[in-house]
Amino acid sequence: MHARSLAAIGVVAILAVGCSQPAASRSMSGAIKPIALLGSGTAPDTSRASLEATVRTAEARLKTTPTDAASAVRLADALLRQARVLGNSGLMIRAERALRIVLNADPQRYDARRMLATVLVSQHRFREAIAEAERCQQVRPTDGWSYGVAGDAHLELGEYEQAFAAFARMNALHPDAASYARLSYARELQGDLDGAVIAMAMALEATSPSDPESQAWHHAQLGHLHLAQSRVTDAAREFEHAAFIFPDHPLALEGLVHAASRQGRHADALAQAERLISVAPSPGALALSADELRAAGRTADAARRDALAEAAWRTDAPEPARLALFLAKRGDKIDEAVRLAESAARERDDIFTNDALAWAYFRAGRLEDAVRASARALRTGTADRDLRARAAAIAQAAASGTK
Amino acid sequence: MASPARRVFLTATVLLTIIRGITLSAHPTATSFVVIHAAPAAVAVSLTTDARPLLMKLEALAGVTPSPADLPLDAVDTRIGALGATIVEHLELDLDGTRADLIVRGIERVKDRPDAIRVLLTSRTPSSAATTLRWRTSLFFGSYPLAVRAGDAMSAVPDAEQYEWLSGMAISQPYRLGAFAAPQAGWRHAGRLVLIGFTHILPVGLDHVLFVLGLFLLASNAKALLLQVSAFTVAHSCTLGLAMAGWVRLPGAIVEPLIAASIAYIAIENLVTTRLSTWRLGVVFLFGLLHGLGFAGALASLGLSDGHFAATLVGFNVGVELGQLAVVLGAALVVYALRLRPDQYRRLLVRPASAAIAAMGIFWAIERVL
Repeated sequence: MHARSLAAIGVVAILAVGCSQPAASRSMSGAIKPIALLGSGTAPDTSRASLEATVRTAEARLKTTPTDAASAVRLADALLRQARVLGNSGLMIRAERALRIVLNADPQRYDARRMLATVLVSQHRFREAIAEAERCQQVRPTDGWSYGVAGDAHLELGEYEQAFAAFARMNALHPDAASYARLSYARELQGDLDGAVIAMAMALEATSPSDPESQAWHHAQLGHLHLAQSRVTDAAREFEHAAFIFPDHPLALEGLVHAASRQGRHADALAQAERLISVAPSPGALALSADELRAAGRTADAARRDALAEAAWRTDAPEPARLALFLAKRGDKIDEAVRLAESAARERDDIFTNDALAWAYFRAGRLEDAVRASARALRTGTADRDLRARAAAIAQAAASGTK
Repeated sequence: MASPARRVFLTATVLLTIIRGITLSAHPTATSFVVIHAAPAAVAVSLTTDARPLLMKLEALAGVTPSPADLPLDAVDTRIGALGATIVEHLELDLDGTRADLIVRGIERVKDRPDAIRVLLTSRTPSSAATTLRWRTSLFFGSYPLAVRAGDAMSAVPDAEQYEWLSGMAISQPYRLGAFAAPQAGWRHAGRLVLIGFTHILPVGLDHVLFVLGLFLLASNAKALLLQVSAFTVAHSCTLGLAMAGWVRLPGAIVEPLIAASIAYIAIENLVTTRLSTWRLGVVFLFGLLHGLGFAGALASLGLSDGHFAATLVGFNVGVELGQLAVVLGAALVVYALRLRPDQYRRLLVRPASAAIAAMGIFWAIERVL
């Protein structure tokens, strides 16, 4: 391959990094996680082997007929799922390429366009995704899918009113696993954890038994919600269930790390974290393992793992807001943390970016700015424990007039 | 009929729009990626990534004291070089299931990416006897593209069968070297290089394009143009060949700013003189030598200089000449379409265009030095 071509691919990779997970819910460690794929009710078998077989078959068909829309959509769906179980954001570039070829030949291919909107959300190209989703809405105003995609994108941008309205419309048009999962996340963001659990359980029930990947995803989400309610045993059960249905699913592994850690089983937590790193490496997974190493008293190893996490956030999967929060929590490079968080906040006004900004300001001694950003972080009424703990610390400092 | 000034303005607007559409910089940028070139005699691996994060990773993996965050880039390179054993430890190149011995051959800066470096490695194991190749690294914790070239197979365009996206420590698919390792005929190899040479001028070599346009603008007739282009061609062919043979070597950090300066010089001279002098031909020849080193650098960075020396030299050069010819023909068409009188030609075209080229050359020169 021509190195310049590879360089160009690399540029696309920059756009795609940090987007190893499509919108629109959040993992326990703050990583953005995918909502159940749209149309999961009719999803094909999505075991790891089946996903690989689907990709192979679809790519073989596209090789002979690149404009075969059905194959391109099937390929994109399988690649999206593979991306989230492997943490390989590059696969979404393949998905987009296949869909673009179809749409260039026939811009009226609705199924390809709505899948493209989903792929764009997963690449964090939110404005483009909204534009494509709105085009789909004009063509088929009664298709819930495009409202779900538009809602995901609005959510990531911090445009919560539009997001929640889009999810409500999606639910009204076509209640299914995908719309229930979105409803659950909307409730979670607004602090209604009980309501979120009910909606997620409905989503799980509505998921096809032949779609183990989605089933595992929903179990992991339920585990996450239980964890948020401090029901650690229930959470661990859900994570175990997810790992049983889809072995080594990253969300299941990540959940098991948290559950074991909350139960004080740090050796188990560390083992699961190491497994997570080997299955789907990410800066978040490295930071998680660093926490467990620290809890186990291995501070030197933890520091080295932190360094790997920081380096990975800088180059392998750049996520400025998460790097900013990481640096601010660690307490060094505070100026850079502020710079990164401010830069991220110019792009996105979601509560998690504002949380990172607030904490960076707080650690930099800019209390007034921290209070303002913290208020933005709390504006949906989220019950996120870590976010609330940081907000409480900022509020307390503001009340006592200290920095 | 539009006035000459209006025609010039309109044409300039259209051209600028087209150029903006292609690229605003001379060369594109990239993030981390790996290129493996499995030539019969050896396997070459180049790993391109951001320097500081790489050092951070290597120090963490080696368990050594971390360097300060504000370490100068030169010192970062040196530290990375000193941690070559850790790099090798975290790379796996398997030939038929046997891990090949890799050695760090060098570390170089990446053109137009001041924070990035390229780590060049080779294996002591020849790939000629191997049938499959697989790759894995534990230096990346996200997804990255891997490109594999075997034998003399190379392509100027992405080929889905020759690259894949890997995530972190995932092992690559097995690449069957036999499928594309058969030596190609020299002429076929040269044919591929023609395309690569052409694309090095159009559309990615905006700096070379501007240099050729600078030559074109001072040429009042075909003979003047031919003399300049010939001097340039002979010169860059010489240094390209000498550099490919390993007899001449200048770091990109020196060559690239000088190429930019040569663009500025040619354009500025266009503003102060109207006739083609012997001096100009000499200067063009000297600058051609520089551009040849630039072309050689591009060839080296593509890993295309191994094998078929003559075919590579001829093919790439022909491609470059065709690219230059396309630029000259395009410019001639524009001039023809404008139908300017000699005084108008200089006032409305040569001066403003040369000023713009000079500004761009100066900008690049500063940018490449910094």
